[in-house]
Amino acid sequence: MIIDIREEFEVPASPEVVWEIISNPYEVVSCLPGAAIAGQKEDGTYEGTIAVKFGPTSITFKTLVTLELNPAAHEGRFTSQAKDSRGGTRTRATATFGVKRGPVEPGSSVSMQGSVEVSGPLANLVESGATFVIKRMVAVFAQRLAEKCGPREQEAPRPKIGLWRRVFRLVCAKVKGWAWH
Amino acid sequence: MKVYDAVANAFVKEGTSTVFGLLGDGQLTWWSSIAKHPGIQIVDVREEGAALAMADGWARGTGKIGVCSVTHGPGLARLSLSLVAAKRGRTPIVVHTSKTAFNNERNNQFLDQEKFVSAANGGYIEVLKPDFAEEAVRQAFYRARLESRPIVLCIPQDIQGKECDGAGDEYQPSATMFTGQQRIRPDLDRLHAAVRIIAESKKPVVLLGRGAMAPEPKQAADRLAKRIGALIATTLIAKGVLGESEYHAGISGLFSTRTAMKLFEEADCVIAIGAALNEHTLAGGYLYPNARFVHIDIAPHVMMGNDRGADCYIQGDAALTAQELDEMLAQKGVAKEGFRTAAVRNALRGADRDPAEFEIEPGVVDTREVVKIIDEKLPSNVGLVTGSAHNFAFPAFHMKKPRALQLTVNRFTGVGQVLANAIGYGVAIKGPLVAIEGDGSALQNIQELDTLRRLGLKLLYVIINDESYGAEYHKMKASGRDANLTVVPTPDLGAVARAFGCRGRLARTLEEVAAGIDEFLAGDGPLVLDVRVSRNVISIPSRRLYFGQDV
Ligand SMILES: Cc1ncc(C[n+]2csc(CCOP(=O)(O)OP(=O)(O)O)c2C)c(N)n1
Ligand SMILES: [Mg+2]
Repeated sequence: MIIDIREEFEVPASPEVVWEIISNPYEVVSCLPGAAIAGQKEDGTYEGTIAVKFGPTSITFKTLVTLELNPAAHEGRFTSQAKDSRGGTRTRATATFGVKRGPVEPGSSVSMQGSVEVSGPLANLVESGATFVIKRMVAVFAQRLAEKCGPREQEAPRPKIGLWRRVFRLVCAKVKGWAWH
Repeated sequence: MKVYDAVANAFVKEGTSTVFGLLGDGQLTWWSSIAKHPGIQIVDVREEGAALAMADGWARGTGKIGVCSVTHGPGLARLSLSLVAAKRGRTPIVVHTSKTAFNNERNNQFLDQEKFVSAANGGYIEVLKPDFAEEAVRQAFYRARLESRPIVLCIPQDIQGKECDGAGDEYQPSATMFTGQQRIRPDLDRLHAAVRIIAESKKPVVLLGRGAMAPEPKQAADRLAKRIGALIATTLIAKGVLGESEYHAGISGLFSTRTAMKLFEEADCVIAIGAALNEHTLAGGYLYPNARFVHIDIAPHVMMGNDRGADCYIQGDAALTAQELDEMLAQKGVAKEGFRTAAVRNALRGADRDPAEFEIEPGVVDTREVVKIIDEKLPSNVGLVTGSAHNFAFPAFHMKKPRALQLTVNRFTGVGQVLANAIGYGVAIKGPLVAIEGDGSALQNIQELDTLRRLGLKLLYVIINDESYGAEYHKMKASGRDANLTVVPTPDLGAVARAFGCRGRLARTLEEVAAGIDEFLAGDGPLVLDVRVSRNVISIPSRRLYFGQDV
């Protein structure tokens, strides 16, 4: 199963502020419930875990994330390889992300593009449900990101219609990865 | 003796009593010959695939080898889906057929039959010399029993009319060589290993599969479960086995209630008896995260659905192994409360209640209510046959009455197989039954209402009619596609049934559903109940799978 990621959402804070957070794996993890970073290896990859709830079943993934950042352009790329501790599900995700100035000041538009490949038992188990799981995770992530960016902006970021869903997929697979990786 | 007479005689000596089939050039001789034997019932079926599905249901109902007869070429070609389904369901069947003239591939009805059958997972035996004819029948029945799958026996047209040395009454049936699976006594070392795991466990689950549905293994499993305070669960196929227990958690897998899933999460040991523990039963391997597995089956080994082996695999007869485990645990003085507490009992009561509310449009009903009425109104001696697609999740979830006779037709998940399987099953059990299927599935084999009417079986055929391919409807919806593409209106199938000479009714309210069931019970013969249901009601497994809901 391959999930394509093509997501964009807006955050009511300047690109500099958003980039500060989104380029820091520890900050990203704090916006993702159930995610944690265990440490960083010598080669720079991050080791982390994330628990994802598919229906009534909660699955914990271990993940290795590599992150490449281009601070000048506010762009980055991450790859993640995750596996779950019991069922033998594997995921591989690659995505690029970037922060741009949004249409409203101060505002940013966060975009992600990439894909997640899921193999193993989970691929059959989640079917299109994964989309909704991701959707919920992305909504939480965007909300927490907005909160982190400044107390003065109360509103959650407003994704354009249809974006969320995709973002989620991103995050989902990525999530693990995003635990980033 | 003519080959066709020898072959027909051999079928009878093998125990054939009922033949499901449809005629063609290929079987005129054999058909005429076997029809002369006293006590042979020939069921004229309207489509070959349905004939094989009936033989399948019949074999499941009698425990014997099913027999189906079809003509060569086009007749055989119609068997594909039913062959694969029977193989997946491990049903022993002998399919009698023929072959067009040798060395003439230009014959209109020529088909590369062996290739066709092997692609559909059947075994193939062809008679090329007259003196092999009887031996071929013996081999076909022997292999059907041994391999537990359909074996196609081909008696070519060029051979049928030849003379052979038939044994007649001296024919030695295959059962004199092989009567079936032996009762394997479990290895003592394995039993000790299992006893250690079970003795250490505080929260065990006894999981019953198809191999534990017979009275003996069922009772042995019950005693073992009581001793160790185990929760009882079953596979989908074995649904309802030991259903009278207060500690029955229902089906294990995606069809588990939320309450059961929570309990399974706490389980530290699963003792699977006669269950393959496939990916469905284990929900991809995620259902029992803290459990060690004791896996009992008659095969040398079975890999679990998460591609791992059990912590302790025991090759052995289900009943014998469960008994031995129980006795060894008794000798060790093991007796525990485990899951068997008032709290668990209370949690399980009403665990299958589905609080979700859906808007029900006028003129249709809530499928959950329909199956509950069916369950309440039909006494437990009424057998149950269900299939696949969206609708079968409702009986799986909401029909709870223990029923000794039940058949799940979901191997290979080909739709349209329920009615024919139910007819064969009905001929076998000679008692009342209810078959539940969707509208799309029903219309794949609706012509078999004619066979049903001729047989006059007491069969209630409930068509859960959402006027769509519901499984696809919900998937399309979940993925943001146009679900209306899956909607196909149907005629009044109650009226269609009446035209076939069956009793038939259309039900648009729950009262009409109840009245239809009453009418069925009060009279004789089949009744078709076309129940119009709302597409808004989504089954729990579909809500989990396609909408990611935590229900
Ligand atoms: C022979 C065959 N054709 C098509 C399918 C694909 N399929 C799976 S479920 C389904 C829906 C069947 O519709 P219906 O019998 O009305 O059941 P519902 O899902 O609506 O309850 C179909 C067409 C299949 N499994 N088997
Ligand atoms: Mg339907």
